[in-house]
Amino acid sequence: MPIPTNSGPAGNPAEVPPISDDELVYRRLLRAGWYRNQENPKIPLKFFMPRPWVTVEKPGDVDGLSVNRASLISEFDASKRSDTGERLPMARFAVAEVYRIGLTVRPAPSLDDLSHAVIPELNSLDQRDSEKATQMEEWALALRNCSVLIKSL
Amino acid sequence: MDITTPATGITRDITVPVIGATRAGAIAWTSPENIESNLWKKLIDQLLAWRSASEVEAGDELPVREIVDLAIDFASAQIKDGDSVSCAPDSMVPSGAGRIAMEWNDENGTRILEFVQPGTAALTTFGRDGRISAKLALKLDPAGRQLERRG
Repeated sequence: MPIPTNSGPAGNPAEVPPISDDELVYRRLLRAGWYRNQENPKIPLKFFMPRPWVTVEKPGDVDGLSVNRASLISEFDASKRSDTGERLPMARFAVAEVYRIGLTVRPAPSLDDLSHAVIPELNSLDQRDSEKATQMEEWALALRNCSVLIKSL
Repeated sequence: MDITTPATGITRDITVPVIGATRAGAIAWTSPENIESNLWKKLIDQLLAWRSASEVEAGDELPVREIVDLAIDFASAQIKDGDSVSCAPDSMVPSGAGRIAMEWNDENGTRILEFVQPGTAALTTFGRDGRISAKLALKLDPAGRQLERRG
């Protein structure tokens, strides 16, 4: 399934540097929603869960949760949708926190977006297993709790 | 919120703990119940907007209509005689595969009520340590619009 990308830096994916512990990553918060506190909303946990498997045609986030590496893309560009150009709110968190939680971050650059990476443990295939899904929810909560909202929802 | 079977009037021994507390900090001339009921009404407005949307909005999968209806039934049941019987959630978002998730947070942890398919919801409770302490499968009683434990 093609991973939605933004208008990130184009280039040769083979030249992308490995991810280091001191990097930050962004996650665009795609889903529309309702918030009790519009001015200072708490990021919903579900934003840190992969899109679920529905059918073979709609397999969800099989490769993991998409993020963008802040070292390779500006905050402005990271917040933009590729299809509409609309700027979206984002969560920002440290790669070191991802490791502390017990997850990993893997570069997944495309020709259109060298900054793209994934957290492979948070994928829609494992989510189909109830025990793994439970673990994923706890990981998602931990990720949410170490994230900063960098644009008002 | 007590989970009550309307036909019998029997209150079961389970509660949905996210729903039932009243938040502090109400404006003096408005009761906390009214503040909460107004929030529930705004949340219902969002659900109605999703219900009337005809196509994918902003590239996201909208919740399916039957699940929106379930969430509307649940939210409507939280307002009685103009007052709220429970706390409105902190957020409500489409959670993928046509589902809807409501989330509450307080000093005791996080609770997610996810409407997963017509007539069915799942309540996940996280403790202060971030671990899941309870998971409940719930079904909506169509007569009383109350969520009750399945099986």
